[in-house]
Amino acid sequence: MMQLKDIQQLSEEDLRRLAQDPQIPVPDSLAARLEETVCAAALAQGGAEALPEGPRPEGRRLRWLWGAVPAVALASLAILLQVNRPRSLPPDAPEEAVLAYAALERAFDAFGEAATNGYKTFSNQ
Amino acid sequence: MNPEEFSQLYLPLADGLYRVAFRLLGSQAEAEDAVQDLFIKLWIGRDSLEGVRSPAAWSLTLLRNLCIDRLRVRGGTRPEAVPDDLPEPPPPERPEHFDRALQAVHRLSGRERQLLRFRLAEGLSYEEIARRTGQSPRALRVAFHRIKDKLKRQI
Repeated sequence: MMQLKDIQQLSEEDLRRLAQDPQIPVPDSLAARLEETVCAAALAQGGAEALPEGPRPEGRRLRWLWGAVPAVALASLAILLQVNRPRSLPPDAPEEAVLAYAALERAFDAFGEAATNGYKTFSNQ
Repeated sequence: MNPEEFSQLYLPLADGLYRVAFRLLGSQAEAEDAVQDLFIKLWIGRDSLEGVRSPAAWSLTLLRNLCIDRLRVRGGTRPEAVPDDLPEPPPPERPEHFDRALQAVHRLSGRERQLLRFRLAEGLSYEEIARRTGQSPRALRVAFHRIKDKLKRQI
């Protein structure tokens, strides 16, 4: 180790010569340590906001469409079925037909409600 | 000076600077600390480095002065020729919260630290990082989002 007064008298050329001394091994971890030092200095100055957001992934808009298309199709089908379903049976319809019609009406209502709820869920995302 | 320019001009000087610091201070730990303090100083003042004609000469001069300050604080090599009425050396300049930020960086995983170094220290674009690491832009976005979340909680 050098004395303080000797260090104060070192010229630029002396320092360059010392920098190129092959007899002094450099730790392998030095480069990574210094890069992390620079990272920490940047973060200390700018907070976590110093790190910009990552790249926006391609196809994010397309993913949204893939969810919306079936929802719109289901909702359209539900509306069509509601519009086109028979409103009433003839007065002399057999009992089996009345029971089947009631079951079909309940199924239509349930399907329509499910499709509408599904459409609302996707459109709110 | 942007991070990429800083990285290209100053980080390659690290090995030579370490050798000088080791010769002046006599210990690996002290030499690493001195070079770390130097790079903090260079980073904080990087906007004024645009006019520096020789980054190597400038860095060596700053490093020598930092080593002199360390030796004065340590008081281990106070020769008789040095006057006693010299002012106390100033403490090392560090941004506020630097130590907390450094601890936060050290708590990241090895891969996350590498990504952080690519982006913040080397100033690489996401495309270049994707090329170097073989990761997709989507995977990088998720990774950087996680890194940013972790850092926000700790800094």
